[in-house]
Amino acid sequence: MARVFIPTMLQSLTSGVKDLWIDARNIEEVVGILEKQFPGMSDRLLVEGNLVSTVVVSVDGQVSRLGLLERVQDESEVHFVPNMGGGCNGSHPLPE
Amino acid sequence: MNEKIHVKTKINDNDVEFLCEARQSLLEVLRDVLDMTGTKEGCNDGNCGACTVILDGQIVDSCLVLAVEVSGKTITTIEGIAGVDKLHPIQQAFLEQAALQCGICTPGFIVASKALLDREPNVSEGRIRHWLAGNLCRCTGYDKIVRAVMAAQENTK
Amino acid sequence: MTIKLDDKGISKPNYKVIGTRPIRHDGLEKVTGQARYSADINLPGMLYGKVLRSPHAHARIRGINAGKALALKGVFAVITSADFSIQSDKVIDLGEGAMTNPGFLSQNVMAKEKVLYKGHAVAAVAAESLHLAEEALALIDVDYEVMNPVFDVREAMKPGAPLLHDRLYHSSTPFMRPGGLKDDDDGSPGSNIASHFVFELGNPENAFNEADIIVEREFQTKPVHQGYIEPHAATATWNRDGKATLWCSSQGQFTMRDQSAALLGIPASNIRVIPLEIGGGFGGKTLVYLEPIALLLAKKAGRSVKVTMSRKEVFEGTGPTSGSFMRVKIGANNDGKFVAAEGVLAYEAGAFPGSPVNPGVQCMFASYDLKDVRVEGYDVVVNKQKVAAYRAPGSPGSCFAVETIVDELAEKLNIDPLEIRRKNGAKEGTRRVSGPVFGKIGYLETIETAKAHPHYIEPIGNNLDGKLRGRGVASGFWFNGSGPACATANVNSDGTVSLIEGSPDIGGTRAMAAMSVAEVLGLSAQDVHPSVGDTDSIGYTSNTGGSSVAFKTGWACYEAAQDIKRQCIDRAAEIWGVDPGQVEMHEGVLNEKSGARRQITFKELASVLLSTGGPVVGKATVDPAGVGGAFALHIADVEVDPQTGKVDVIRYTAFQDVGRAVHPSYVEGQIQGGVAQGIGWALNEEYVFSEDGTMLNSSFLDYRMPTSLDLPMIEAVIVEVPNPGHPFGVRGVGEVPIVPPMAAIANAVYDAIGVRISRLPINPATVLEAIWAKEGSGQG
Repeated sequence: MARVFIPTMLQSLTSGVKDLWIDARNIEEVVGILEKQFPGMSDRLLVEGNLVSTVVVSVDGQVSRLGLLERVQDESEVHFVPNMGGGCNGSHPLPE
Repeated sequence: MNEKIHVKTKINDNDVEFLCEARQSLLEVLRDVLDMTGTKEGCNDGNCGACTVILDGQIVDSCLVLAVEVSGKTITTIEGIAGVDKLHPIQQAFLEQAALQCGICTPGFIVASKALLDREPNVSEGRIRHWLAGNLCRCTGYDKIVRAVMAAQENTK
Repeated sequence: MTIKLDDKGISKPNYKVIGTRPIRHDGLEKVTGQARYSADINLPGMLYGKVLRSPHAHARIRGINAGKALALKGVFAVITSADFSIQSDKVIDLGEGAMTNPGFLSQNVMAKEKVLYKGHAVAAVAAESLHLAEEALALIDVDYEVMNPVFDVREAMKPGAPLLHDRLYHSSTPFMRPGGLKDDDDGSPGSNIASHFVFELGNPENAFNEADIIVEREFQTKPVHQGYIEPHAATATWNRDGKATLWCSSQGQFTMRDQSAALLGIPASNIRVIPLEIGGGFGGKTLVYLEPIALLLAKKAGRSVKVTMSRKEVFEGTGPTSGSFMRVKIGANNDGKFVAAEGVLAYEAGAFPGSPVNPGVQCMFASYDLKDVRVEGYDVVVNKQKVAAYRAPGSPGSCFAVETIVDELAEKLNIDPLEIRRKNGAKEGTRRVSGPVFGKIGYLETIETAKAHPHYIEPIGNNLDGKLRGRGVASGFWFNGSGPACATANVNSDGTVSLIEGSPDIGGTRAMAAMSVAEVLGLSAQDVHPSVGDTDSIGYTSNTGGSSVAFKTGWACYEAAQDIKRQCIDRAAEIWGVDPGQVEMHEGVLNEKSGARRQITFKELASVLLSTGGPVVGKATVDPAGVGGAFALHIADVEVDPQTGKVDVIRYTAFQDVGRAVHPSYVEGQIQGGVAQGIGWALNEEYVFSEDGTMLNSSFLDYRMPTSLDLPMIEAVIVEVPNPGHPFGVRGVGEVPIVPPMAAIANAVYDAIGVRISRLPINPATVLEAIWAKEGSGQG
C-alpha cells in the first residue's frame, strides 16, 4: 500500500481527506483508484489520458521523470506537485 | 545619406581601407563591413564597454565613434591582442583564472585591461576596479576578472 | 572508482579529474574574439530585420498600413501578426511534455488585436541595411485605440480594474496552469488573476495561537531584468522546399526550434537550429522573441535575414522577472523554535499569464522545518513586459520576505541569526509545504561552515567617517531541475574523444562535460573535445535552465563514456581472444584480469580501432530523477552613509552546498555571479515606469547594474554534501546564489541603521526615507 497525499486545493473533492493508503502498482492505477473514490479527481490531474503537464509526481521525495508509468512500492509516499520546470521542460512560458 | 565615404586607417598593425556611410559607427564597420566580430555590441550607447577598442592609445567605446573619424588613426581590437603563436599574458590569465563565463564581455575587458597595464604596470585592486568600471559583466561578479588582471600584471613583470 | 574516507569519516571518491581546474575548452576562442555569438553571423546577401514596437501600454490595434514602408527602395518584406499561423488560446501540450499556450506565446512575439505593454512588437521589416530597416519602421502606420492600462499587481486584482484579456481562464488548482481563454459563451466576469492556489500543511491557524511571538510584515519588489550583456539576435534562411535554418543564441536550441515551429505551424524537423555562443541568459533566453520573426521575414523576402534588438528593446520587449506584493508571518516560541508560518504572494506576470509565483511560494519556507504552514499565490496580468524566467524564478522575492522576518525573530528573541536557522533548519526527511520530504540535503552543513568561518567570527570593524556598518545573514533554497539530455562521444585514433552534447554553454559547462568523460576513461580533461550540437546532430536535450546541465548533461556524458568503456573492453577481449569478463579498464588502461595479464592503454587501443572492427562511438540518452536541492547561506557586511543613503557592500561571503564541484572555479564563478546580480537587485535595479507605462530607465546608464567599482571580492565557500542521486554527487549550482543577497543586505542595513526595509531596491532614497522616518525629523 502506498500513502497518497491529496493536494490542498483538491481536498474539496475528498471532503477534507488529506491522505489515504492505496494499493496500486503504478501512478496510473493510483489516479484510477482516486477517481473511483473521489469523482472529478482525474479531470484535475489528467488530460487526454496523460498527466497534465503542469503536474509532476513525487514518489518518496523524488520528482518522477516517468509520470503515470512510475512504479509505486509498498510504503511509498506519493504526491502530486506543480511542475517547476527547471530543465524539465522543452518549451513553455512557465518558470525555468 | 547613403553616399559611401572612403576611409583609410590602421587596424591591428594592418593598413585597412573601407567604405562606410557617414552615420555608421566604428563598431558597425568593424562588425558588419570588415567582419571583425570579436568586438561586441552590448548596448550601442556607450554604457557597457563590450565594444571597447584602443584608438590612438586611448580606450574608446567603438559604438560612440563614427567610422569616418578613424581616418588616419590607429586601432587595436581584440583580434590584435594575441601574438601569432602566443596569447597575451592578460588573455592567458583570463583563461587560468576562469575570469569568463559567457564570454560576451571578455573582449572588451581584455582590451581595456591591456590599455591599463600598458600605461600603468603596477596597479592596485582598487585601480583595476576603477579602470574597468566602464565594462559591464553580468556573469562573474568581477572577482575573477580583477584577479586575472592582477595575475597578468605579475606575469608581465 | 576508489572510495576513501576523509578525516570526518565521510567517503570521498578518489577522483582524478572531477574537482580539478583545467582551462576551459572554449576559452581560447573567447579571449581572442573568435567565438561566434548570436549577432556574429553574416551571410551572403543577408538582409537586416527590425521590429516596430508599441508606444502604448494598452491599446487596440485598429489597423496596420505598411504600404509606405514597402515602397521604400531596399525594403524587402514587412510582417505583422497576420503572417503567423493561427494559434489556439487554449492551453495545449507543445510536445516533449511541455505545456504552453501557443496563442499567448504568439501574441507576445507579435501583438494581434491588442498591444499590452509599451514595447510590445507589432510589425517587423527586412531591408538592405539596419538603418534602412529603421527608416522603414517609421513609415508603418498603426491605428491605435488607446485603452486604460493597469500596472500595479494589487490594482490589477481589484474588481473593475482594466482587463488585459476579456476572457482570461482563471485556474484554481495548485498546479498553476499557464492560463488560457474561456469559452465564448462563458458569461462569468473577467479578471486579471490568471491563477490562485494554496498549499497547506497541518493547521497553521491553531498553531499560531501557540506562538509566543509573531512577526508579520508586507513586502514589495519591482521587476528587474536578467541583464545579459548580449542582446537578442536571430538569423534565418528559408529554402524553397520549406526547410529553414536558424542561427541564434538561446538556452535551448530544441526549445527554440519547437516554439518557432509551433508558432509558424510547420513540423519541428523543418527547422534546423544552430546554437551559437550565448552571451548570458539567466533564464531570459528560454522564450522565442525574434526567432519566428527572422524565419517569417526570410520566408517572405526570399533572402536570409538577421534580426537584432537594441538594448532598449531588450529592456522594453523581453521578460524581466515579476514585481511582487507579499504578506508573510511567522510565529515562534521563546526558545526560537518556529511553530507556524503563513505567506500570501501576488506576483506580476506581465502581459500574459505565467509569473514564477508558484515556485516562489514553494521555496519561501523550504529552508525550515515547519509542521503548520500555509502559503497562497496569485498570478496576475498587468500592462508590463511578459515576465521570463530569471535565476531561481520566484524564490528571491519570497525568500527576501521570509529571511527578513527570520532575522527580526532572532533579534527579538535575542538568538544568534545563524543559530535560529540551524535550530529550525530543513534536513533529510523534512516535509515541504507542497508535501514531499527532502532527501539528502546540506543546509545544516552550510550553516555550520558559515558559523566557523572568519567572516562570521571576525568583528565587522568600527564605523568610519560617519558611515554606519552592519552585518546580515540570509538563506536561500532552489529545487534544481533535470530533463532529457543526450551525448555522443567519438573515440579518435589519436586517443582523444570528440564529445557532442546538447546543452548551450552559458558558463563553462563544456568543460564539465569533458571532465565527466575524462574521469570515466582515465583521460585528461584536455583529451576530450566538447562541442554543443545543433538540432540535427544531437538528440533532444532540454533547456540550459533549472541548474540542470551539470546534473543531466553531465550524467549523459558519464553514461556515454561508460558506453565507450564497455566497447573498449569488448574490443580488447576480441583482440586478445578472451571473454570480455576477463578484461577490466582502470585509469585509462585495459587489463586482462588473469592468464597472460596483457595490457593495452586506451590510447593504444584507439589507434587500432579502425583495423579491428571499426570505430567506437559512445552514446547516451538520459532523463534522470535524483535531483538534489540546493541551499545557500550568505553573510553581507555593509556600510551605510547616513548623509546620502548610499549602501556599500564591503565584505561578502557565500556558502553553498554544491554536492560535488566538478570544476570548482566555475562553481565559484556561478556563486559570485549570482551574488552580484542579487546585490544589484537589492540596492539599485528596478524598472522605473512613467504613469503611461513607459520604462524610464531603459539603458545601462539608468538601469544601474553593479560595476566592478560597486562590489568587493566575493568569497565563495564550497560545501560538498554529495547528492546520492548522481554518479558524481552533483547538485545544481547556478540559481540559488541569487536568492539570499536581498535579505542578507536588508538585514545588514538594519544592523547598521536600525530600520527594517521591506521594499526593494534599497536605494539611497529608500534608505534616507527610512532614516528620516526613524528620526521623525521629516526632512526633505
